[in-house]
Amino acid sequence: MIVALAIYIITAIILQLWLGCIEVSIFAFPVNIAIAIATIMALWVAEKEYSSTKWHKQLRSATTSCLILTAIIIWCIIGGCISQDASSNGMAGALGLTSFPTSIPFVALLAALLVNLSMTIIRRICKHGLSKSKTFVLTHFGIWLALLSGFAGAADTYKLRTILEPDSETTKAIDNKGHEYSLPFTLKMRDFNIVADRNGAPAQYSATIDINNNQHSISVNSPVRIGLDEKIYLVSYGNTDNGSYYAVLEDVHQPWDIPLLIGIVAMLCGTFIYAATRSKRGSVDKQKMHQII
Amino acid sequence: MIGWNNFIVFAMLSIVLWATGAITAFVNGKNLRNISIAATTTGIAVFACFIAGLWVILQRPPLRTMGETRLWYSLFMAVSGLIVYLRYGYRWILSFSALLATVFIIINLCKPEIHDQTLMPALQSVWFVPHVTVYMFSYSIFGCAFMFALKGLISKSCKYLTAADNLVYIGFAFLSLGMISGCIWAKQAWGSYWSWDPKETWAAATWAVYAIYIHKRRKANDLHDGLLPADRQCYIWLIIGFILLQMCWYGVNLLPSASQSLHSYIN
Repeated sequence: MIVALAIYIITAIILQLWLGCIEVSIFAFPVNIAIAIATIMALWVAEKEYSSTKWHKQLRSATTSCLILTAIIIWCIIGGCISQDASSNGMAGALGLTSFPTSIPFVALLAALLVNLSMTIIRRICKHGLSKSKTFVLTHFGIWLALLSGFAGAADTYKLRTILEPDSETTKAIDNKGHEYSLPFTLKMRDFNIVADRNGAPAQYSATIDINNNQHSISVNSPVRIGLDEKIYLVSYGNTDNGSYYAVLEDVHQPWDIPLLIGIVAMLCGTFIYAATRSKRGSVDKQKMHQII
Repeated sequence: MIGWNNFIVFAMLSIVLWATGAITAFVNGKNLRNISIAATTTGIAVFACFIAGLWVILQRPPLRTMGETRLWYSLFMAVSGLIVYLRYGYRWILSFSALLATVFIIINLCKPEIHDQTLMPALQSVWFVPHVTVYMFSYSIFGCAFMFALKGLISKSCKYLTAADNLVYIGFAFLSLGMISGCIWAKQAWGSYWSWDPKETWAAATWAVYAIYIHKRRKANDLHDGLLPADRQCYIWLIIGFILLQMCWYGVNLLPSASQSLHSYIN
């Protein structure tokens, strides 16, 4: 399995050198849903038809999970040490290390983890049934859902920023590549406040804005929800030429918001149940332990 | 009035009490065991008083600077060591936990970071306290697991893995809670649950290490003498996990990527 994983990673690195980092938008809805459904169906059929084969056992094994996680750890450590700058042209940039979340090797590893998780969950349910696997499924399905939502969500998420000056309104915003978009609503700033601390430094800032003539108060950690999957955030501020303040707002559209939250909460519940119900395997004899020292 | 100017008093008193607890733990006798527990508990109470007093003086949770998080780690390290001692009876754990707590206290004494800084707007959230304190507590649990790993490797025994398993399950649950509270807070503040910020990247790597350990220990049994290669591997994973969590906590601030981190307000 180590050899197979090594070949898989090397292939991904070669593809990275050839094609560069992944443009996540190509997986936008409905492509992401279609791939997810097709993969799950294929894995379900594989479980029914090939579950006793050696390759299937290896692919769904905990050993494979550990190997994939080890590779992810290594890639994270490397990516965590290097400054992330997508425009970098050196060898690190060519390998995708300066933009490692969208690098082909990293995405390939996460995809492998997703497949391994899927196979594990399907196998567990088929072999033991859902009722006997509640904690297992809760934990692993939670991770699976969070990963899938993150994958699919990356393609469907967009963030648009706009600057709002006092008594001005706008319907335009730009993405992180500088492309301008029209917003489906009008933003207008009524008021901007800064609360200073005892040393005079800004401790909190907030704004009163109109969204389609509906007044809202917005501040850091208190975004305004304008739809099931859309919120406006106050991310920063600055000074205009005449000394007043302008607000930097960000419109975040994240349709996979709720599935991701469900996934991470499910995973958390599962880990706590495991910790709480863990049997005292090999309970320790305190007297014996004193002798060991 | 409690403040950083009298930290050394609280620190020295706590260290003396923890050292008393650690030493008396090695002496046989029920009364001495009770003294050990009482001394360690009193040391914890003294240190907790300092943190509580600092909270009142600063008028904010003392969780903003690296020095302040070191306070919590020292406190939780002593607490975790005491819990493990009460649960498993390992006499040496109080010594190791007291030593580790003392190291971070000495770092604070030598490198005080006494910035009286108001919390930045992004840090003014209900998630701030639970996110950081839960992480510090999980780090202390993994610190105890790290000590078991060292002890197991040095004494070439697999007997410490069972206790390490229990610690890792608990630590992993709290680590996940800390991570998820951070995700929810990040969504509230920045619009994304996860943005592969350098600190988040190292946090993911740390989480994955302990996930690997849990999977490797799923079907293990410790009904043998000595140390098998698989046992040694598990101990090494615990050491790697401890190193990575230290990197995640403060090592990341030393890296070139730190300047891009949304968590750089911790500096």
